[in-house]
Amino acid sequence: MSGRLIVHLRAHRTTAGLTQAELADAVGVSRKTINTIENGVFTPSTILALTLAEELDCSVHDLFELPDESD
Amino acid sequence: MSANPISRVRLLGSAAIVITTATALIAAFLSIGPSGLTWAFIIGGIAIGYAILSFVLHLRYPDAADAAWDEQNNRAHRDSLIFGFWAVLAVFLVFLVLSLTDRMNPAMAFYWLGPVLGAVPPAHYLVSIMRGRAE
Repeated sequence: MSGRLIVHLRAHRTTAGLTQAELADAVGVSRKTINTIENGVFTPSTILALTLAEELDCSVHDLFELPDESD
Repeated sequence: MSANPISRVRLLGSAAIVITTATALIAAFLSIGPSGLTWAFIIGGIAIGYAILSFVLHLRYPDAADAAWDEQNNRAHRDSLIFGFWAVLAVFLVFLVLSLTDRMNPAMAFYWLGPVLGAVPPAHYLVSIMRGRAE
């Protein structure tokens, strides 16, 4: 398995009307962590991914996606 | 700079330790400035002051402390400790060779391992902050 995670967190966050700082406060992490997750620099743990999905009222699969191996 | 008081103090404390240690090393190699013992008190005083301030802030702002030590910052901190371990091992080996070949006093080698041990992890953490991998 290789390749980077495709991240849709930014789209879901803005749809929810939250800033990075507000989402960070809601899930108990730093704003920098939200920023690096959105930019694909940092891959969150399963617990944080589930927490983000719960906070944004969506599925983890809506936020994160594996790249298509056939590409 | 971060709005989180814990992150802010961690950044300033790490920077103070690294800058003071680097200054002490440069001064020692150039044989200028105060004695090594004075530098040890200055560096130790800064480190203890940082530790006390950090402890108080952790008690005062528990939610900010949780955010400041989230999984990304914990990973950056762990990486800095791992880097510090290898740095100290590498410097120890260099000092060992220098000591065995009578080009360095073993007591002096032991003395200088302290600053390496104390300053390399914060230096690595500062680089992580500058690279946007920590706060």
